[in-house]
Amino acid sequence: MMTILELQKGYREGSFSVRQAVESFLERIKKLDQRIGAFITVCYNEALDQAEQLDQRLSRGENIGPLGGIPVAVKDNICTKNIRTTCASRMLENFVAPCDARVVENLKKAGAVIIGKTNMDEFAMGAASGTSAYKKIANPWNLSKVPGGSSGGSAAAVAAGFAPLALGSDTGGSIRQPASFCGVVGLKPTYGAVSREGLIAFAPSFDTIGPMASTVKDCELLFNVIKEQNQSNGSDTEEPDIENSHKNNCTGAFDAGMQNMRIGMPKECLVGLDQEAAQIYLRAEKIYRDSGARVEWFSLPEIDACASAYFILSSAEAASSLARYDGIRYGFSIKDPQDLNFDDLIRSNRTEGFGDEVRRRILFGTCMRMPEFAAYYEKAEKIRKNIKQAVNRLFGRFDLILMPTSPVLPFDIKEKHKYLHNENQLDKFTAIMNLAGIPALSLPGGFSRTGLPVGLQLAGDYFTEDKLFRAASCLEQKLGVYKKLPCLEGDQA
Amino acid sequence: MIFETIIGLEIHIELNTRSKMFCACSTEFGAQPNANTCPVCLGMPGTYPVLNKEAVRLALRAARALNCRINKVSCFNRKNYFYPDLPKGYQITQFELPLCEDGFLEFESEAGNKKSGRAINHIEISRIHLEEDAGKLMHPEDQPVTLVDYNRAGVPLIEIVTRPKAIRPQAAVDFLKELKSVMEYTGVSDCRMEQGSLRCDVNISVRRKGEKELGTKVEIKNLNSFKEIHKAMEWEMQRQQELLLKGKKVMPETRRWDQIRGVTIPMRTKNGSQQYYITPEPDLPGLDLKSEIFRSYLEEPLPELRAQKNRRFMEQYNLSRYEAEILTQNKGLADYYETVVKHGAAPVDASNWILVELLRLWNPADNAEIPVSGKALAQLIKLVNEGTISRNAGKKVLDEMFETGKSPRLIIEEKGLAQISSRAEIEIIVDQVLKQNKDAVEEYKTGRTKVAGFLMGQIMKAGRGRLNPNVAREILEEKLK
Amino acid sequence: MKIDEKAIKQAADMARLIVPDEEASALAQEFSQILKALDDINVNPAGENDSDTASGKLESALREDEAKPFHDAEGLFQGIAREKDGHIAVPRVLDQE
Repeated sequence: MMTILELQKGYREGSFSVRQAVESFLERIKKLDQRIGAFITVCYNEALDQAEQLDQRLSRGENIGPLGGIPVAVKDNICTKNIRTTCASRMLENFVAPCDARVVENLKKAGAVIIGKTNMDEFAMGAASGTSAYKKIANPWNLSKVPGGSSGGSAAAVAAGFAPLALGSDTGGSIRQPASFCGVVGLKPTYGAVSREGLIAFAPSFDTIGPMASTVKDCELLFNVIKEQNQSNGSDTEEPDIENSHKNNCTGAFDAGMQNMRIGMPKECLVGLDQEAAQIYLRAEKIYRDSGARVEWFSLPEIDACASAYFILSSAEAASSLARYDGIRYGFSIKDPQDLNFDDLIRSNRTEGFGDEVRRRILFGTCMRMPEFAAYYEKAEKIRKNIKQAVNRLFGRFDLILMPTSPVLPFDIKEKHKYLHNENQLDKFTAIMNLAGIPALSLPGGFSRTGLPVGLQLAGDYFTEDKLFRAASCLEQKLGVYKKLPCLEGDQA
Repeated sequence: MIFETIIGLEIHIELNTRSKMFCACSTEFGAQPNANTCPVCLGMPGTYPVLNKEAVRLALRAARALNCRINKVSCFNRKNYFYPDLPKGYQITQFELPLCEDGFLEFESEAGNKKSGRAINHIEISRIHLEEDAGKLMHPEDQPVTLVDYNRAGVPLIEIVTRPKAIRPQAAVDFLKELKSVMEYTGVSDCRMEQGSLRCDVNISVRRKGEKELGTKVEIKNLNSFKEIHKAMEWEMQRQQELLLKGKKVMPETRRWDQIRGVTIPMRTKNGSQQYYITPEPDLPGLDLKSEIFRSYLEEPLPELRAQKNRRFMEQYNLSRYEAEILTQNKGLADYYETVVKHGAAPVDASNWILVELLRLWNPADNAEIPVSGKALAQLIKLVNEGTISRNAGKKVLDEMFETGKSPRLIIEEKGLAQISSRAEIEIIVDQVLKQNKDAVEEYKTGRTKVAGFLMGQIMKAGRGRLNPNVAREILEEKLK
Repeated sequence: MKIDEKAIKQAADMARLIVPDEEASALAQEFSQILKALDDINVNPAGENDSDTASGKLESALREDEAKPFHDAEGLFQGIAREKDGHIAVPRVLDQE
């Protein structure tokens, strides 16, 4: 499938129209998505309409924007006007938001074509995308494996070439972990760097919208479009020079960027880490050292408490955020309410409208607000405070932290239950950044012997996405992983 | 056995903003049900609250007018529970760290201490915090449904909680009246109980005088006017006293005031003590009043309060205490008075006309707008003073202005009420009357000057009440000499 | 500390969810496990007062007091039946204010 560079070149030179390009993406989706399940809704008509409008503007010589004519897949918990937003739940099966989310407005202003709403874990709760009420999602690299979650559909869409760009959301790792499992790049920006207006809330003090793409530069391009413009992220406000950066002899240019960059690697990450992932992690260490960065192992004991604290706090927030779903003003409502009183009606609506995992988290979160368990909730809050303090100290010492993204390789879809109730494992390396609010990026680090993607994660201080992009680009170019694409049966690349 | 009653008040006041607390929907009263709604106040997915600056400004004014200690940093919370009037399944409020605490309000009340000749009482305010209102529910008798109107959902409120104090129910009502006046005068709220912009729940307990421990507290809800609040407190106080006298215990509960039967009854189930839990509000990371935007709110001068206006009216317009008190009983009326004066009426005339004539036609307690503009009333006063119409005619004109909204000049023209002041015309009538009443004239000449009154009467009658009495009198006196 | 079935039932009530007994029992066990993991973690006493926000730099978003009617009234009550006068009818609540 065509890269952004190729698309933009084609539009510029008139080799093909936006409509033709979009049609080819839609064709591919039609042909291959049955096996993957990346989309809940494909926006056939809307996308073609948008494409036509863009073609008209091109023909008038207009600048169609930094994402002009580029298809973007949007996670189905981000509101789109006129196109349903379901959160992969029965509860919102027919919900159509009256407004676009802020990020969607930004996408449209930048000329992007919204190609579809991607599948996910229901209400973003999960790390395998196994709890969608609609259909399961498969990892394009190996259809028997999970794509990770909760932004599994977005990650799979990019990996399978259904769209060069996608939006996901990250609450405990939901962009980075599927990015890792699907061999793509995913950024969780600094909390507050991207507007949440129009993102359907799961845990509001953690939720972050972020970009996903096949290369770091593409990811940066999308980030620049969706971020709040009045902030300085250190990130370029001009479009990154994609064309030239890929042409250059990268090594020299990237090394210059890495000189004296202080990178920390937490020892605790090696504990319980899959062997092959560990190898890939250590290889990255070498690459950075060779590039001139100052790499240092250190101890971050706070990591161990993260997943538990995250689970308690996010579940408590979820219980509150999902209280609005009662089927009264919108959303799922049982067919035959008979003589039920108000409370019984909403009980039925909620119990049937929500899936198991969502109910489970709401219940756990509600327990955590009961006075008898207050001590646990308070402890989780203290852990969060500790982590913020630890993180502050950390970035006095380091510019970046290098960590694995996932302790395990992409696992079997059939085995997802094993992991579902052991989420602590899956969020181990990602939740810490959500607890602190700092930005973190996952990029492809390599493959296992059986061809499964393994990601690497970089984390930085608040609003230092530019450093993340820089360091990630260096690693990306030296590894060359992004050049490999999954082979989907019957696929003509 | 002498009992004392401990009363604490929980007051909700709707802030006088144009839009709701967290969205741009209008707060206007009386709109069609569910017309003033949007995705935010309906709690639709993907929506987030954005705080109304003016709500903060008005709340801070209230805080200062009530002498509170303002917390430079305060936090928002969610009060989580399920009820049809609560679209998000939680109400955004302030719990542990409210906007301000520890204030007080002084007010006149018989039961208070004498201070400079008046009885002043004093109630402490425990806290004031910001929160959003819930929607409105109706429970029709004939159908198994509850009707919901979300217009009110999201309207900005402040909740004022008073420290329980041993006072008589009347004093509590006096406090509320003063509170209402302060809120009106500072522009914070119009505090109309009948429109729900002021709501009050009462916590009431009794104990034998001299006892240190507080009695069991009962909460009373559904109080719809100051009168009903008074009645409910009196009744509940009685009820509790009787229980104690019989050696029984007062149950801690929430009771509903039944206006029709004049009794409090226990509220059936949960809503009295709705199970809820409090969480932080992550979408509103707190209110930092140290920031630029809020500093000006903290420093702006407070609008004139009633007591000040009273004093000023007495000084500036030379009014008596009695007049000033009546004119300032309601900010609208006080402003009206000043408008009339501004448009040229002498302060004493304006006061006179308002107190005697206008208040005959318009009741301040109705809180409706005065249908005659201050400018128009000033015009009317001028016309009477100039002699264009008599005072009596002026009364009639005012009635007509009230009814129809027409200008005084127009009414005078239409009804031909203009006083005749031309000497020539009046002379004709005087001459006629004198000619017809030669005996009376003779009587006058013999020294019985009182008969002039009778002659005046005849003259006025002949002129159908339209003669300028002063001119007529002058001419009569001249002619009688 | 353990979470027992009674607590699950209470949470279910508060969260307006129906939880059958077997499920309550399973959840009680699971949740207790999660809490046990927390028991083993030591916490440093928290340092100076932090705000609750992620980066500590965030403030509540503010807006001017302007009333603007929502542009799409149709989209608000998607298929929800309204009474003639605009009210929404819901099944009776048990208790009344």
